[in-house]
Amino acid sequence: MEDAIKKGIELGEKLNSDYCEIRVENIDLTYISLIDGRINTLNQRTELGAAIRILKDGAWGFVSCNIEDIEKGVKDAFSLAKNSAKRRKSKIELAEVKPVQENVIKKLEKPPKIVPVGTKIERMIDLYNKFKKYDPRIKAVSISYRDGEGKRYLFTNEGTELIQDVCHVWNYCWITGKKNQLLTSARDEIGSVSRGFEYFDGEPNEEIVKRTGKRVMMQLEGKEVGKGSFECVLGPRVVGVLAHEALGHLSEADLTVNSSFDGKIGEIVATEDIKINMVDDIVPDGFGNYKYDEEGVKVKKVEIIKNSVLAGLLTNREYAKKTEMPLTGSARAEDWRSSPIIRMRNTYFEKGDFEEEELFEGIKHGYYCVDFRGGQAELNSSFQVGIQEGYEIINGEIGDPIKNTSISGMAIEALKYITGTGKKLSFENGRCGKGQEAFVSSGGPKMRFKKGAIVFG
Amino acid sequence: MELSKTLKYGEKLGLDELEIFVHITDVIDVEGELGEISKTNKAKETDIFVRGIADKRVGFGFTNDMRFLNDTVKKVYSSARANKKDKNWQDLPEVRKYHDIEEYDPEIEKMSVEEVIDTCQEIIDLTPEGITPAFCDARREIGEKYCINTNGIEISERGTWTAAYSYLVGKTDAGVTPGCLGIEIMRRKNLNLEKIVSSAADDVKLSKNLKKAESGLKDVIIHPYALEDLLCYTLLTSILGENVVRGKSFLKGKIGSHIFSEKLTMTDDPLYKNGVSTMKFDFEGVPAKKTFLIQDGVLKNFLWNDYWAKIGGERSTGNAYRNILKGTVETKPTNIVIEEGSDNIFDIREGYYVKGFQGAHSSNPESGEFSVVCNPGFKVENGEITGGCVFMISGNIYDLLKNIEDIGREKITGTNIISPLIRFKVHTAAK
Repeated sequence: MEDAIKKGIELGEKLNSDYCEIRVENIDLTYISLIDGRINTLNQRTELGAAIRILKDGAWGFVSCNIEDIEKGVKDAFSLAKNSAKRRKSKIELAEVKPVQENVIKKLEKPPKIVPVGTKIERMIDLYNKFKKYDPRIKAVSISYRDGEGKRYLFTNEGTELIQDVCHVWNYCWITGKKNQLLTSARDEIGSVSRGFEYFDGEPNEEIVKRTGKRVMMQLEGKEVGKGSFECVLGPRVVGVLAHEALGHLSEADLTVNSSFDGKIGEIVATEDIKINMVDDIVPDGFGNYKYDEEGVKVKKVEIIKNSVLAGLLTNREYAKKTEMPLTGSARAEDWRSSPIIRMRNTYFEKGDFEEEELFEGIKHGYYCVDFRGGQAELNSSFQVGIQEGYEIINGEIGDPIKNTSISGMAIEALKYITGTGKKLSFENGRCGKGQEAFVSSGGPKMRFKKGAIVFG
Repeated sequence: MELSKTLKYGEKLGLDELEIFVHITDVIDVEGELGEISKTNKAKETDIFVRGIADKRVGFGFTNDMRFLNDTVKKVYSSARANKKDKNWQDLPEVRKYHDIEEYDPEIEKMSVEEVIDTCQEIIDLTPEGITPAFCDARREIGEKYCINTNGIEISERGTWTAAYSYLVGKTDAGVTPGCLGIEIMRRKNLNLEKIVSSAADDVKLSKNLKKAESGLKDVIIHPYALEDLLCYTLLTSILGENVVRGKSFLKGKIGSHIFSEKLTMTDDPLYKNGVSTMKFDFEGVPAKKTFLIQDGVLKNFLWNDYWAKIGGERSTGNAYRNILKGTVETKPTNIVIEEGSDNIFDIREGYYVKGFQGAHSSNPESGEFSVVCNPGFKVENGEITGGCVFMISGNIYDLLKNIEDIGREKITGTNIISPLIRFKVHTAAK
C-alpha cells in the first residue's frame, strides 16, 4: 500500500505539482439495522480507496479512485488543477507546515473487528426488548448500529507520511409512541471514536431506554408551548447546538467571510455582564477527536469567543494563509470520496460560575429546554433548534413537560442576552452535515437567556 | 454485463435467490468560491449491491470492484446463514413490463472538463456588482444502472444530468442577508445560467430591504424549494408503505378519505419528462410507474418497495432505493408532482413568501408537527414582494395541506418536487 502511494507522490513531483497529497482509506465497516426486532440489514464491507489532491498554478484538482488507479488519478488531478488555474485571477496558497512522519496507534479494549457480529446483534435485540417492555404506548422501534476500524494514510510531496488508526462505534434509535390517535417520536444518538465496542459498557441499554422512552412519553403527554419570546434556560445539549450550528459554522474560515462574523475579530460579540468563552477542542470521549487533521496538521484548541470577544477561526492550510490566522487542524474529509474542508470537532461553551438554582431563580414564566431533535443555522446567524425534551418554568421551579416546539433567533443577538452560565459541563455526540458527514461533539453548561433573544414557535 | 454466471455461482453455494444491482456514476464537478474557480473534481465510481436469500434468511453485500464479485457473493451467503429466518420473506421481484423511457443526452456525456469549468466561470461572471458570489458549482454526471436476479429480471438503463447553482450573499448594515440560492438540475444540456443567477440575485436585493414580520394567522406563499424540504420530513415519510405497516404513519387506514384540500392533486411520477428522478426501473429492477398519492384532496395510494408491498398485500410501486453507505433497500419517492391551479397566487393585500426553511428535518414525521424558520422569507404587500423578513411558521402538515388557499398557474422544478407556488393559511411567529 505505502509503495503505491509513494509512487503516486513521485509522479506528482515529476509533473511539477506545487503540492501533491494522496490519502488512502482502508476501513472495515459494519452496518446493522434492526426494525421492530427484525434484522433489516446486516452489511459488512471494506472501504478501500484513494483521494488525490493536487495544487498547480494556484488551483486545485481532486480525484477519487481505486488504489490500483493512483497513477492515473495523479495525472488526472494535475490536469484538472491546470485547467482550473487558467480561469483564476488570484492564486491559492497554503500556510506552511512542518512535515510529520508518524504512525498513530489506537489501542482498543474490544476492537469492533474482533467482536462477533452475533454479539453486536444481541445487544441491539436486547435494546429492542427493553424498549418494548418500557411502555405499551411504544409502537415502533428502529435501531441502527455502525462501526468501522482501519487505517488512514496521508502522504504529501512535502514529506508528510502519516498513518493513523481510525475507529468508530455508533448507535441510533428512533422510537415511535402512540396514544389514541396521537403519534409521536424521539431519537437517541451515541458513539465514540476513541473506544471500541467497550464504549457500550458505559452506555448500558437500560439508560438508553430510560432517557429515550421518557422523551417519547413527554411528547405524548406534554403541553403545547406559547408562541413568542420567553425567558429560558437551555440545557447543555441545546446549548451545544447553539455553539455548533449558530456560532461554530460562522467561525469556519471558509464561511466567515460570508457570515455575520465577517470583520468582527477582536470585537465584543457577547454580553459583557459575564465572560462568555466558546472553544473547539479535544475533549474526553469527544466524537471529533483526532490527533492530526486530513492535511497532517496537529489539532489545536481554538478559542473562538474569549471573554465575550470574537477571538479565533477554524482554518485549513488554504484559509490560514488567506486570513493570516493560525493553523488549527480543522481540515476533515468524510471519506476517500471527499476532499477535506474546514469542520468543527468538539465545540462548546466553557463553564461559568452560576449555581443550578441561580439559573432558574426569579423566572416567573419561561421554559427549560433539555434535548433537541435537529438544528440548523444560516450564515446570517439565524438558527432553529427542534426541542424533543423541555419543561415549563413557573416561579423558578421546573414544571410540566412541553411538546411540539422549536426555538429560533439570531445567534449574534442571543449572545448578548445571556444572563447566566452554569458550573457543570456536558456534551452530546452527533453528526454534522456540511455537504459531507462528520462526527462531532457539542455542549456546554446550562445557560440562561433573558426575554427577547429566543423565540418559541 | 455478463452476470448470469455469478447467479449460478450463488446457487451452487446454496443461495435460493440472488440479486445483483450495479450502479455506476461518472462525475465532473467544478466548485467556485468567492468569485473564483476553486477546485475541479472528477470521480468514477462503481457500486455493486448483492442480496442473497437462503432458507428465508437474507444476506447483504457490497463491493466497489467487479473482480471481487464472487467473494462478495460468498460473504452474502455467510451473512444470510448468520441472519435469523425472516418469516415475512416471500421472494425477489418478478419480471414486469417496462415503460420505454430514457433521459439520456449524448451532449452531456461529451462535455469536457474545460466546458464544465467554463460553465462555472459563467455563473461567477453573471453575478451582479455589489453581491458576493459566495459559492457556486457546475456539474455533469452520467449514471448507469443494471439489475439481474434469479427471478428472471435483467434490465439496464443509462441517464445524464447537468446541474448548476449559485449561492449569493449581500452585505447589510446589520451584517449579511440570508444566503440565496438559484439552482437547476436538467437531464438534457439546456441549463439557463442567467435564470439561475438572477433568481438568487433578485432575492439578495429584496433581502437587503428588511421588513418587519408579524405574528398571527397569515397568508404564506411557499416556493417548491422550501415545500419539498418540509414535505420530505413529514408527509412523504408517512406516505411510505413500510411506515404504514409498522404503525408509524398518521395516514394508516385513511386511503379513500378526503383529508386534504380538494385543490390538491399530488403524484409520484418517475416517468415525468426531465425529472431529476425520472427512470425506467427502481433500485431492485421493478418498473417505474406514475402513482396517484392525493387526487382532489383524497388520499389514494402509498409508496412501496417489493418487500414491504408483499407484507402489506400490495404490489411494489417501483419506489425501492439503495442507500450506498448502509446497503439497505429503502423506499423513496421519485419526482413528486403537484398539479397547477388557476389563481393569481400573489393576489393578496398582505402576506409572506418563503423560499427556504431552516429546521424542516427537526419536524415530527409521525405526527406531522413542524416548527421552522422561514429564511429566506419575504414580505408581500398589495400583490408585490416588497422586502425580506425572517420569521417562523409552525403547525401540522395535515392541517396545512387542508388549508390551501390557492395554487399557482405554473409548475416550478425543485430538486425532488415539481410544483407551482402554493398559498397557505398558517400561524407565523415574528423573530
